[in-house]
Amino acid sequence: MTRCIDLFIDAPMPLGELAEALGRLCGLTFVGDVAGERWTVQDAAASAELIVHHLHDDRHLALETYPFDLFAHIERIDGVERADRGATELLRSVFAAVRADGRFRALLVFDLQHVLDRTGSEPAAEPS
Amino acid sequence: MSGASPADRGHRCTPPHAPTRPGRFDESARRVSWEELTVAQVLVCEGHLVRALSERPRRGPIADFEVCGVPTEVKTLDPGASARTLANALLRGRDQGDVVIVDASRSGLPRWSAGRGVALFAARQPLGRVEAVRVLGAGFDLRYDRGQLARLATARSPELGVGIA
Repeated sequence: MTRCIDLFIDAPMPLGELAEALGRLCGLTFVGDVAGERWTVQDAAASAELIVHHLHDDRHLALETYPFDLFAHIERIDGVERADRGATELLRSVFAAVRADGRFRALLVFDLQHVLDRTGSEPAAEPS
Repeated sequence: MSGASPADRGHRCTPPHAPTRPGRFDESARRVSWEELTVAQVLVCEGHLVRALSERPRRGPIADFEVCGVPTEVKTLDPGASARTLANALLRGRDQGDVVIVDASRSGLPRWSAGRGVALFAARQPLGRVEAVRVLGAGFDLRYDRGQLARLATARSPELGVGIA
């Protein structure tokens, strides 16, 4: 069962421009696919993909107010998810850079069910 | 994590294979999590040959299992999950396996809500590589093939789901 960690971002710009902006903020390079619909970023320990997501708002998660999703799958080693390493560190570092920059709202979520952190105030999701 | 067997949790064991053919679980490539083991037990009980797949570090996700040769992704919903939680789990899993199995048995998700969640998923095209979806709940087992999912996607409302108990 592949767990995941997602950094949802609300930014008033197209996907490619957000990828460039995040790259500058974090000192990382986002590489786009041919269609420019999926941008991949890697650091020493993990990789993540930036996309326009199609997920639903869910209870306390107002995901649809964040058009963009930078997500990574958490690798498993003998049934133990490396939750504090790799993908989580990468996403947390990007989140910290976004928070410090202050231009974009962001929401860090574990396994599409649990909020880990967020910037600023959060609009409530509609009841499901 | 409860040690309850699949039968204890209300899942039927209706083997699609010949009764004389026992299921088998191969964990040699990777030791699985308790959540995965729960689903593997259900599948083995049905006579399937289940093989845990190993990771491909930094090369993207792969399915959790091969079930009789079919790449199968497993998702687990935590307590309090909604129809939208299920839909999001399926959306996330749609490129990870030909079959996506969601274990909602400990989530408190009712059957009607599970059906609605699958309909919400189907309404958000494309279906990706998914050929079949299965939702294991407390007292229900919903299964949908790709054709059923496609029909759900074109239905007037995603509020009503269909399923096979």
